[in-house]
Amino acid sequence: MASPTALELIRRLHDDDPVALEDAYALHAPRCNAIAYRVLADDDRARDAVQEAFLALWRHRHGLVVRTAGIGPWLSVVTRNAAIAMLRSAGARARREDRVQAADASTTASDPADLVVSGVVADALRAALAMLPAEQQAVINLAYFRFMTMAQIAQRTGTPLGTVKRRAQLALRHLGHIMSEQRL
Amino acid sequence: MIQHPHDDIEAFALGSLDEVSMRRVLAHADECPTCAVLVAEAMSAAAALEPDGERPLALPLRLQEISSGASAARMQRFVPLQWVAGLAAAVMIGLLVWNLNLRSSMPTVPVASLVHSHFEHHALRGAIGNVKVIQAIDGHWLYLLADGLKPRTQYELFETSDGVQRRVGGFATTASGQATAYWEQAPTRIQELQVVSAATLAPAAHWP
Repeated sequence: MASPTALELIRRLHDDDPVALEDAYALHAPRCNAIAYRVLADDDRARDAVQEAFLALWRHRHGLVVRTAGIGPWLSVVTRNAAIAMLRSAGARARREDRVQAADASTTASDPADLVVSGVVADALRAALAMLPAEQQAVINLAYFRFMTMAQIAQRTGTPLGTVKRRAQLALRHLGHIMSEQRL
Repeated sequence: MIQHPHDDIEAFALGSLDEVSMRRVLAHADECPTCAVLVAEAMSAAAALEPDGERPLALPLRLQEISSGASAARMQRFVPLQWVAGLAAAVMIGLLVWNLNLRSSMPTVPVASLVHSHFEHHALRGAIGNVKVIQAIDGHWLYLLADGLKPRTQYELFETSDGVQRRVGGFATTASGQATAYWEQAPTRIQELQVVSAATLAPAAHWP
């Protein structure tokens, strides 16, 4: 059977067709699981984050964002956000760091973010990051790789919250542009 | 006055908001055409940062519960009773025709072109509904988002350029009165936009 197209899936979800949720799950869950696992380093919790994302997809199926962004990008972000929300509970963060350190005890990197950057993220992203101004790199590093909130970044760097958000805005637009171009 | 969460959209896409704020941004953008486009841009950029790769898993139980109606529906499709099959065929043909009509109104949403283009927004005013048109600065594409219009109704979008009015294209609303549509055309300087009912040509919304 041919895979349902993205637009067809969106239309069927919008029409409250629960089979469309199963089809979306078959198409996107493995990628979502990889995204959640990169954050949590824990299979059980990654599965919970994926489940949370698909439940959210069902709840938001009538919203404008799913139709505008497309199911793939929507699920990528919502899955990662669900995983980060889980990680922010102190116990989950401690377990993740234990697992990451146990999995790669030979590395000299001591910070989980460094492990993520060095071990998982593609060269293309590192190259794109290097093209950003230093202050934007810092915001992306703390937000994307260390899972810090904008308020935490502002506090840590002693920068006004509005400035941190503006740097994140400029950095994400620039990175997204570079990464999209490299995948075309 | 509506508070748009513009300052939080990139933070949302990066996972850098607290959970309550994340939910607030997504809930707002689901109802606001302008923010929906901005969130879509940010989602597209953030998704591009994710490395390729998959990690297989089994269907979780809670999803199966949500879609239990779907499983029942799937089984019923294969009940080997001739009269049921005939009735189902008639229904399926009807649904197919209906779906084809709907599909023709579903746009290929050009998030990439939105991300990489300079564009401007126009809120069209009318008696009912909320119609937003986002256009490339040079007018070579237009993206329409609408809600609150008459359900399951065909509309037409017209533009005025250099003093001449021309039809851009048609779109149909869903059962809940929402619609999205996308058109490309030769670059032009758009001066006015108007949405009219396709059946009666009665004006539904206009800009400026």
